[in-house]
Amino acid sequence: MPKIIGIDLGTSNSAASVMQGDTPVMIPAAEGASIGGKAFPSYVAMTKDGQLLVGEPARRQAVANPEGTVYAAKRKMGTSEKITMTGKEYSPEQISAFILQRSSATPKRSWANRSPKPSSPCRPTLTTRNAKRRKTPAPLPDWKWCAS
Amino acid sequence: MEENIIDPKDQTIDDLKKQSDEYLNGWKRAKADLANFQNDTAKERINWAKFASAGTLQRLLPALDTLYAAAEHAPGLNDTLKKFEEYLRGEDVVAIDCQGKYDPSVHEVIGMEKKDGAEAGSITVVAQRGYKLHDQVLRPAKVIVAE
Repeated sequence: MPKIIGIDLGTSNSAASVMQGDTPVMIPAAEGASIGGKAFPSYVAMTKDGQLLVGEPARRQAVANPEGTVYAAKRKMGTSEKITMTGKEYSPEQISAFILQRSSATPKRSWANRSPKPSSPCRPTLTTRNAKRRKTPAPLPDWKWCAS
Repeated sequence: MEENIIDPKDQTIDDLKKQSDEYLNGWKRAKADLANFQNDTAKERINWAKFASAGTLQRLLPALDTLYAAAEHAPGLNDTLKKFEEYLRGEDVVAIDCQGKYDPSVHEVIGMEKKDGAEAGSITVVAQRGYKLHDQVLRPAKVIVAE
């Protein structure tokens, strides 16, 4: 039976947790605890070689690769604004999807052979002033690889 | 018409069978959850023991940085530095290699500079040494890279 994980998709940091009995337990990020504790920073980066980095590794190379690094993309969710990373355009929802995939990938490693099913992520709370909220939420990425 | 009438006894038996199946499935699920929990706890216990000293070692690193800086001006401190390094090696703490191009998994880029002859992305200055404990990053190395 697949475990249900709860994902907190935050503007600055994101985290995932799982229920162990009656207690929610936060899953530490694969790179270890960062400044945000067990959470990992909501950074996404595309290197010049085309490698996608999410979390702490993306934050660490932000100074060296500013045109390929994105953070706080959640603030743009609900707008039609596009975010450019190394010449390619992404919607804020796509950037958030990379972060969600990273959140789901960490528990899959620690609970081997027990694929986690993600619950609904939190709604955006901090958005830009003129952001129009969509009437219907943007579709989440395909979760087929998460199914048990 | 009579064939369509359900005997109340059969209905009760069906309901009880469904209830019993539900209880059995619930029990099997709980048993599997317990087995998984026990396995996970055993693995976590091994990890706790392995990384128990991580917090203390992290708090010692700034003192080590100061010792390195002081040893540059006071060579007499080199013996103390060697003993410190020996203790860290005993705890399986190794310094992160800062040669060549930066690797975001172990290096944190804090600045960029122009350097003639240096490949773009190669590390030019190590502002703060980084360390690994049992192959996990204890503190990333802070580096300046070439543009």
